[in-house]
Amino acid sequence: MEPDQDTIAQHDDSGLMDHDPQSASDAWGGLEALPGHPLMWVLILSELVVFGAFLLTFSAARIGDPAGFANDQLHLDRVMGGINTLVLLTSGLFAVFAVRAIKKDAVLQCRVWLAGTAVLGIVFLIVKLIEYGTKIDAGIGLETSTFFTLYYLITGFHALHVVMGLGVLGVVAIWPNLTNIETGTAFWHMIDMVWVLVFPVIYLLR
Amino acid sequence: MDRHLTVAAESDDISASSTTLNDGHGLSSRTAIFVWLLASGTTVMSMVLALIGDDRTGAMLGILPAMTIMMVGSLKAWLILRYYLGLGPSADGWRGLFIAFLIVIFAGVLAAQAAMILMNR
Repeated sequence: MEPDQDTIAQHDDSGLMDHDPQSASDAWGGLEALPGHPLMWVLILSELVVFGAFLLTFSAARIGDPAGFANDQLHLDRVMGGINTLVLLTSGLFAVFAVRAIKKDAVLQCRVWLAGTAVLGIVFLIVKLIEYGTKIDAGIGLETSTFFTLYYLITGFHALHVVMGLGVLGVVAIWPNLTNIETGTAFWHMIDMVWVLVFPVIYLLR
Repeated sequence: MDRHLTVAAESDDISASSTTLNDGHGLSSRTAIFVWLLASGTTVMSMVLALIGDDRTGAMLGILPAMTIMMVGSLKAWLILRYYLGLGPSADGWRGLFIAFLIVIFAGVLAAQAAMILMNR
């Protein structure tokens, strides 16, 4: 398909860029209507499937040893888990404001919101490290029980995504156009969304 | 921060009238903050409820408290999907796929809880 004048006009000097409706529609089967690069949505969907499988595996394992899981869960700090939920929810709000800022061409404002998002991501990781430290000091490791194997696996894998998310936010802050910011923040919201499901299943249900 | 929010709120009309593909993600500051308040409020509520009911004996929750906890978690996930991720204006098929994902987790976790309650009787 030949690019038309409207498409060319979207790639202006400001660095702001939007999808070409026609070609994107042909290529992505509806995903182009979503914010950010369509491929990010494919990634988000696959990540959700992986974390969904983790949570269902955790629940299935609980059936095999409900008393053991309940006993092990007593070692978790629900307040820390709740604080981390609030931290990620707030970082998600900041990410929304970053997208709004770039839509107004306010690059500096966008970077400030992204920085705020990243700082809260770091706070999340610090709280998680404190939690891990407390467990390790108490002699609770990866092989202590099935509960803690799954706990470290699921929350560790999620924390790894937070680290990756910080990298993504950093990259899009360097090249802040609309598509990049929407793509980067979509990844961040996915991390946020996964955590709001991990928190009740691992920390609250017993 | 107030100035940022004011500026963002003032631009709501501009976002709403633009014709880009991403109009659906032109989330107003007011809506974004409302979603945040709702999600944060339910989080604090579930933390408080968990701490009040926390007898540190590890007693198994009944199906209703378990369902409430999972409903709150799923509601927060849906709010993030719908408003922050901007799934609202997407094609029905994609929206259905993401909703199905949440339903499978919700139903799977509750089914496990129900199985444990039945085995415990």
